[in-house]
Amino acid sequence: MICEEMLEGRYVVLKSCTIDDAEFTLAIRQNPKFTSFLPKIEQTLEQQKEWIRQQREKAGDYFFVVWDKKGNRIGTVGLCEIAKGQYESNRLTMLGDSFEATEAVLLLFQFGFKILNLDHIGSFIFADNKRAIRFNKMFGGIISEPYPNTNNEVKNSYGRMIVRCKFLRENFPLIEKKITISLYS
Amino acid sequence: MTAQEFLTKMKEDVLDTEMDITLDTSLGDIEEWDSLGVVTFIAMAKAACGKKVERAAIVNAKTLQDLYELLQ
Repeated sequence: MICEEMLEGRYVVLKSCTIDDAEFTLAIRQNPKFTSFLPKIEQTLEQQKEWIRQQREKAGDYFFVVWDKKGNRIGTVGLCEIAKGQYESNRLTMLGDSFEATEAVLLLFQFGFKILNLDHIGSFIFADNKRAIRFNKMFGGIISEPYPNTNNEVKNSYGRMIVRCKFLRENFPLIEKKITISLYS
Repeated sequence: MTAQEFLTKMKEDVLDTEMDITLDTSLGDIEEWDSLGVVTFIAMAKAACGKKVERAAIVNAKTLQDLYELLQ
């Protein structure tokens, strides 16, 4: 599904992924920095283009490419409806600095809570991805105890230990205020 | 803020790390120097020292010494 408007912050811009982003979005998922902590994708460029075509048509599936203010693609981030009314943040890959990464997710959550009016947003993280867990806690994420991924909640990672993370709309204003003070001080 | 006070605050409050740190410690060697660490440091700088820390200064910092100097 396409978000027609760009989500723009001081450091980054989020734009709905297009076919032109196929090479970047495929390459970043094969970057060793991320392959340990994201489900593997093994497909050709043409397959990635087709995936993007379908993603753009799929209701409730928002996939953004993150751009820096110099016009470079620096990451991806997504929000998907996994069941009716249940959304999950995912596909977070960032090559930028901490300010860009933090603002990208802030923009995503502002989109989810303020534009889509979601009550909560979930996500799954590999239990050994300490950096991602810390990052999600910064946004008020409520982290579960680790458990094995036997229900395939995270694709292509059967049996691996995961944690569930939940973000509540009611907590977001305070988190948003705290983060924006630091980002824009 | 003295150097020791700074290191204590960094270890206990900002980074929440078990690692032994000194002013010479490279930020790249500190696992907890991530987005949360950056945001917490900025908040600490403001609360403890009344200092507004700019993004460029944070991005260019390489060691804890560099961060300490931002608070002076």
